[in-house]
Amino acid sequence: MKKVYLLYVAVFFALGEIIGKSAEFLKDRPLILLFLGFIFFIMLLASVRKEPLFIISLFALFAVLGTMRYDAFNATPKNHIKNLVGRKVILEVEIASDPLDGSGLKAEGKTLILPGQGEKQVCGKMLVRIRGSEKNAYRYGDILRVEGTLREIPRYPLGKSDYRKFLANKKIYAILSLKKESVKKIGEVRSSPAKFVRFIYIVREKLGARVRVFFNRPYSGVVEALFLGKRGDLPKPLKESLSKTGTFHILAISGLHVGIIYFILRLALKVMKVNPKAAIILSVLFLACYAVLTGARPSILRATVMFSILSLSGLFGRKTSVYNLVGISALLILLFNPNQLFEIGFVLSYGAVLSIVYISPKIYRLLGGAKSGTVAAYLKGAISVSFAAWVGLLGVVAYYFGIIAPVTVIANILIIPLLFVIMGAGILFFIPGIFCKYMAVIFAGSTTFFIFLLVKIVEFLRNLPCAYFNVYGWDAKNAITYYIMLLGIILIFGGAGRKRKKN
Amino acid sequence: MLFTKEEKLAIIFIIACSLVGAGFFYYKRAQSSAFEIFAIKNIPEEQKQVNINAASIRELISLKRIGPVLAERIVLYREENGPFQSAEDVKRVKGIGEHTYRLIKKRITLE
Repeated sequence: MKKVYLLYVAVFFALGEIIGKSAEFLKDRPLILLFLGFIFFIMLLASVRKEPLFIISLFALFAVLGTMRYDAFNATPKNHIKNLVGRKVILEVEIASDPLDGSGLKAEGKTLILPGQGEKQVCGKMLVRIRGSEKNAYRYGDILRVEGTLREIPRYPLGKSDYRKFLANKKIYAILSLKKESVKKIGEVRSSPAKFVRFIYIVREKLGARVRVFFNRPYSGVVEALFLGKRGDLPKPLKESLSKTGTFHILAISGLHVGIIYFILRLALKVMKVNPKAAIILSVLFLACYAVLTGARPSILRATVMFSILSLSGLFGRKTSVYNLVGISALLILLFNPNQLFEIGFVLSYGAVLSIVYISPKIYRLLGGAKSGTVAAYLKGAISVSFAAWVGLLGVVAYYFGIIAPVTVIANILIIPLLFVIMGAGILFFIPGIFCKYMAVIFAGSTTFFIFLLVKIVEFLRNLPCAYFNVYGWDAKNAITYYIMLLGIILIFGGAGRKRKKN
Repeated sequence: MLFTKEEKLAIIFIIACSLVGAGFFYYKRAQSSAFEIFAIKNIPEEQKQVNINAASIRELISLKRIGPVLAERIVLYREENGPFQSAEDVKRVKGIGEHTYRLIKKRITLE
């Protein structure tokens, strides 16, 4: 229990959030939550010498904190933009996203201008569409005066949910469609964090432009997705093949990519004979900047927090437990943005890590012996990790995407080593390639060739018999039943594997 | 030892990438169609046909003057009244008049 206590804290905190989302009677009733929190705190103090009760009270307290955090985060004050939907407005807004991201321009409302009556402070994010304007006309942190009608987000289907709910989870409740003539830039945000983010986005734009110079389409789209987190230019046939083979995570920049970059970075710093402590600090700083550059999605944040804590624990000579690393990274992300819990990216990211950590050692034991350092041992490890991730996420993927892809197990074993090579070649393009055009051409060539191999492997796997099955009728009941059965199988066979090992 | 294990690994990787890259560069010069993946059809977005009986909201938004609200209305109209029988039937959707129809009629299809 001690080894995984942070994971339990995160689980109960998340449970509290789920209660906060589902229990209507708790909405806007902070006094009930404060009262519950007070009760559990008293129980905690009273049970200092009675460990089981102490632990129950502690976890219950974290659940209440989760509910409170969720409630506080999602409360919309009276001056929220949401309350102006349907009205024609003149607003001063601040751009709060990278306009070149491809996922839509987001802006934060600041001031509502009431002609003849003065101004009123407002808050809340909205989606902004400016017709007739170039994508790079505005930058993150620009302050605009806009005039238009705030409308509700349309409800078109998006997976199991709809676009309106998807954006509501990001606290975006309105869309403002404008003509270019109704928009006027009146200033920029001058705070240091905003300047830093703006600088990072400019770097991202310049790197993207460099990629488009040296790579032909569609390779440029793949490189931008892999390194800069921009998926707008990915070819549709490739996206489809990756979805069908269950390997879309290869191109959706994630913890895997952050892990590979972290590994390459530490190797490079070791080769350059950088002091180990300085190398740790540099790695953590680089990962933080990289997370901002690539859009700070949950999987990237998770990996960044985990690798940062792992590095820093090495700096202080502390041992780490993977479960505690997972727990603390989840807790930090949920404290910052509780709504992340309800995003599919968060569920898949943490689901994959926990499946690999919990299930793969059991599969490894079941696969029998292999001498360490041999090809057989490597294959055994690769199969157990790939199979563990697939089996752990199967229920969730079937529910959200209506697909079960057994070919994922083989696909991951073949593609992930190739991904290491592609990322390495890409880093050689971005870093040494900046200093010499000829090096950029050579390394762009090698990166292109490896991406070509990746695409061919994915296409081959997609066309294998029984590569994937569509299961559109898979509902929540099926998913829960599946996970109960899976847990049962793991407990039975996991125990059998342990007995065999003892004998 | 002149190089550590990690340094040897890094050197081998850099040389391998350079050789592959150089080989790719010269081969592509000789065979320009080599390594083509997916036929990229450069049909500008504005010229693609949109089937108003099957298009998603995202596809409908690509039509001139059709934003998210009108696109949603087209889909709702379809769900309530069945498929459009002719291109001109799209004028029955609230917000789409003669002017908007004239702007979009060349790009809409029923199949």
